[in-house]
Amino acid sequence: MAERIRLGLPRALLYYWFAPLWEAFFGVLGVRPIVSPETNKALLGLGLKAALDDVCLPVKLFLGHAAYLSAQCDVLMVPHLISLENRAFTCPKFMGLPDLVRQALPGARTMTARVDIRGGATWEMSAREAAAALGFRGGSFLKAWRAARAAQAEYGEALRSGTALGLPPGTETGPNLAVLGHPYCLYDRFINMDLLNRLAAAGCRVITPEMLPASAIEEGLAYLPKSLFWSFGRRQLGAAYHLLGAGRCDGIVHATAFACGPEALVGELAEKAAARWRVPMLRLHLDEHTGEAGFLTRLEAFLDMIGRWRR
Amino acid sequence: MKVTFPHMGTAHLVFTTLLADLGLEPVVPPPTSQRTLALGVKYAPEFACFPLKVNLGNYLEAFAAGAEAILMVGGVGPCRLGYYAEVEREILRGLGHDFEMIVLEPPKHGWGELRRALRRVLPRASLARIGRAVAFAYAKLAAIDAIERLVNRIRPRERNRGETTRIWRECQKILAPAATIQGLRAAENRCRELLAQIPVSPDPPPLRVALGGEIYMVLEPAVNFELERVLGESGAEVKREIYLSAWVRDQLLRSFVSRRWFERVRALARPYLANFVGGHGLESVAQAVDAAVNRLDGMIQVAPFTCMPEIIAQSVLPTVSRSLDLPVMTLVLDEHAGEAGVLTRVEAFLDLLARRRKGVPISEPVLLGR
Repeated sequence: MAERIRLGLPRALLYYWFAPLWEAFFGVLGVRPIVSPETNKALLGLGLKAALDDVCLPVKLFLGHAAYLSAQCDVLMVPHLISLENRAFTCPKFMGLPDLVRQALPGARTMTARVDIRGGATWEMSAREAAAALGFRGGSFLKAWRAARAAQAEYGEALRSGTALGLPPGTETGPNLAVLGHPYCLYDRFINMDLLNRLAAAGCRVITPEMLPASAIEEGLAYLPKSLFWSFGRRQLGAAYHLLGAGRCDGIVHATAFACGPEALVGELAEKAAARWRVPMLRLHLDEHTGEAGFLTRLEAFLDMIGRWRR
Repeated sequence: MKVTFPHMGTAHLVFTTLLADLGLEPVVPPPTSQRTLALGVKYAPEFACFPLKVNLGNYLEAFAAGAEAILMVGGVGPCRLGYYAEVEREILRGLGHDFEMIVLEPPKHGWGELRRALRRVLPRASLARIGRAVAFAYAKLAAIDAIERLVNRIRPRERNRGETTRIWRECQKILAPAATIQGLRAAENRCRELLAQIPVSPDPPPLRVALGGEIYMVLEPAVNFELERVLGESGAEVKREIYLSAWVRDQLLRSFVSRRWFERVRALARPYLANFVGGHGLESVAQAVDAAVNRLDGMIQVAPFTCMPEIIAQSVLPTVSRSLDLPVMTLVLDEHAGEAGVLTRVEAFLDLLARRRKGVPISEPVLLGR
């Protein structure tokens, strides 16, 4: 039986979706999960040093968190989330993440957990492999897995109701704003300059894709002639089309990482839809150079415009 | 129906024949030019990959020439190519163009989609006729690629600079009208004769350079500043793995040969990139390893800005370069790339390779060519 191994969990990329799953699983198993702090300038700096220029900011941040953790833990967990549903991928960066980490942090001791629904590698199989890799056998896996699924289900509910984010609820008369973006762009307050809180503080009722039930997303996706093969993109477009079709949003804010590949195409389709429905849309590009003043100015101008539009 | 298609290297020579064989009227877009790029960049999303922007420019110029439909390929991701047709359709319809978008989806999820697309455009053509047309188009593509491989071998050794390129342009004119297997064989033989007559030096080429990366940027000279010609005329034999005939074989035909070949790609790349990342990411890494093992002098990776699979490949190439002692240079190109800058870098890279050949030791930062 292994003594308490310190397992590093970078607070980046899909940590924002699966944190409860991983923390509960490893905690109950008997491993000590160590999560990096919320993104800050130092972590960003580490990431910029470790990564190639052209890599998108979220992945650079992951490398920064990973670099920080590798000194603090016995093993670093590098999630290898290739595909989370049938007929869709996450993104090439996710698919090559273990290789990027190996290249950037050559000395680090890492463990990967591979999930490839499209290819038949389920979450449960991945969890089993992870447990075995850490030296745990048999019964302990099942208990940990059950706890993990319960924690994740609870979190899913909290995300859907919006309570997970702790946002102020927005005023009665405030605009409904669809805020679209990959989870690590929406929920990392450093990368997006606390976007959600700022919008809520300005009186908006914020609706993120996570707050919509799967049925709403699927209904929105039915508008697409061809099935979209990126999981994050599916949620954005499904959410956008659903909210536009139901008349449930007064504006759309799309927060994307600079030069994000899939978002360039998804954003274009969302923009065209917003134009068709005559709903204002703001594209925010997040990168390491984004200056706060410019960001806030654009946000304020957009909210002003929505206010005028509604009147 | 007047059908157009995007430009990509010599593909137009084959698309024209294919469409004509199927009873459609091919509209070849004007050769890709600065004007094409300007049009495409104007209407495409800023961070769309460069090939999509050039495609749009081609289509807009083709519409002006009377095209009523576009023939395009699809895909299943994660590379963005799979969704090009959808986005292009939205953009062009938004500009007020009325046209049919015919998308050839790879038969990975069954032949249904492909059959439906073909039925819409060719309601009366029998499967046999379509099959024959496709088979001939593939044979023509393979013949053109075979001649182009020969051109790359001869060009670095030519005695009169520019002669091989001139003959290659002649060959394309000879191969273009071939419409039957006999005609194709005759044209191919004629091209081989012409190439064989080029006076060449008996010495091997001074340098051998691998050229790889994203397929569109490798195959389309109009967007890569005619890199292959520049390298060849500078005395470097270009070793390219990416040819359209090979891509068609692997993507659309999924032969036993291509499955085994992909296993070889995976095996070569595995120590550096152990996973499929879409596009030609694995191929680029595999090609670098192959080039090092075969003692080529260096490799140039060409990719469009923001190309995700190539970014992953580019991230791991420094390790390949260091551990296998192969200089690698990456050229990331888009509408902002300038010819002078690119060619200066290429010249400097070739200088570095030439100096290594003569045994001058080079310190590490220069070796990586970045």
